[in-house]
Amino acid sequence: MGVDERQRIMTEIQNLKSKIQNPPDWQPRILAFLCNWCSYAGADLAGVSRLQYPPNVRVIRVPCSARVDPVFILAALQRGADGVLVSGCHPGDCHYLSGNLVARRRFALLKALLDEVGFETNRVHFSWVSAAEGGRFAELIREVTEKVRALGPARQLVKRFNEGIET
Amino acid sequence: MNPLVSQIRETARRLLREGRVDLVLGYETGPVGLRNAPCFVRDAVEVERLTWDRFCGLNLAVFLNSNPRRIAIFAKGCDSRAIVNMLKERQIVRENLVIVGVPCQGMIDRARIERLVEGREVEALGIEDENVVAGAGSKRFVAPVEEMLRDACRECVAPTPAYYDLLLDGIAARQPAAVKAIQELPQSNRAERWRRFEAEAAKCIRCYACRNVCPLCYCRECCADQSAPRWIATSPNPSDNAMFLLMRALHLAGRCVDCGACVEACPVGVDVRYLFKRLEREVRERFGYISGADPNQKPPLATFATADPEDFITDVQHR
Repeated sequence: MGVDERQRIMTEIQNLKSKIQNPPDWQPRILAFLCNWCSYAGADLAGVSRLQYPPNVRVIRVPCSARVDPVFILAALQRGADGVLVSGCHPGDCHYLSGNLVARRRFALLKALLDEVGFETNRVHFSWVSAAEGGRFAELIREVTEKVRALGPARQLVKRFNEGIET
Repeated sequence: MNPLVSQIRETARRLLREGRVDLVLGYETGPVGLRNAPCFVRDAVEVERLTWDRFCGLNLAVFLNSNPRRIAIFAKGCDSRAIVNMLKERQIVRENLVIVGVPCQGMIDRARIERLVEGREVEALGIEDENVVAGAGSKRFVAPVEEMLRDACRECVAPTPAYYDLLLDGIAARQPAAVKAIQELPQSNRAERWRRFEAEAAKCIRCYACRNVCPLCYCRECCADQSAPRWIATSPNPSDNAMFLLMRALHLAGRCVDCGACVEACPVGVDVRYLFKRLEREVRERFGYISGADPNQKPPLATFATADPEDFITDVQHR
């Protein structure tokens, strides 16, 4: 927890950039924050069940969907993610009872704000996947990947590192 | 002289003499025109410094943070709303505070006056029959007061403080704007909205004046200052400026009291008040919460309702 954990998340975000792709071979890169108790287990079930889904998603496991600070999402969009997905337990099923319900309010506002500034809101997705929903997880990744693919490579918010002095 | 001035001085004198407070927070005539400076009065003999006019745009609540003294504050509607939120967030101690409500007529926008006089230096400024009269050089400029007010004041829904210990009278406050006016937000297409936001973000020089004048931006360490990891780079560039403006808007969602202090403080005219307005509307419509109104209502992001709308959730048909 604390600073170390945030640093690890930042490192994961920065690693997204490692392979710069040119338009002909472009594949969407999607960062998924999955809660430890439901969605991560749902992703695991999809894998164990040999369900096929697009390989465009890179998973970060978080203790709860409420752990996801909007700054993680914006930092990812700034540094090479074409899309971001946050998934947690279904409302009512949160391991911490109400983490996802508190997170739901926060995400509703983030999405409204991104809409207000004219950001392509289809790059940012919030969903609920339980530990038993391997099929739903695979379907969700297909859906999110297709929506992000339709938008093409991210342009808005993206940081061009030669524009200024990086600190 | 504004009829409130004598009342303000009298109230301050009484509170200090009676020993009810150690410090009075008000406004005094500042070193530069068209904006008053905050005034800190500790002794009853100094109350003559206090003033009041249409240039009290600064939100005085910003000076209450981590101040251990017993303070009397002259609060407009917006200052009072900020105080309500700070009390809710346990940033200030109610017992140490005497809130003197001041009915607000709306504060004049310095930038609008500067545009009115076409960049000249204002030498004299007065209000005659609902008109602002500005003298600059040999010229005289006249404009209706209403057109010279700040956006936040024009759209203010509670110019008279609703939360106070004492309320000054003797002057009629501005009529509250209808909530409906606030709902009318400019609709445009996505590309246009992005261009508008990009243009605002491009102006930002990251001086953080907006953060410093905001009574609700009280974090000891702002996310824009964190360095391990560095979420938002310190150099002004389009992407990090956008990040800063978005994060500040999000951190004030459901908390911003629309005092307009940040817009007024900005040296380069970044106006992102529309972001705060959108979030205000979302919070009101989704969670039934109005920032700064009810001291007993829980902050919207510290709580939840099982029936909160889920229209933004990506749902899939699962087979």
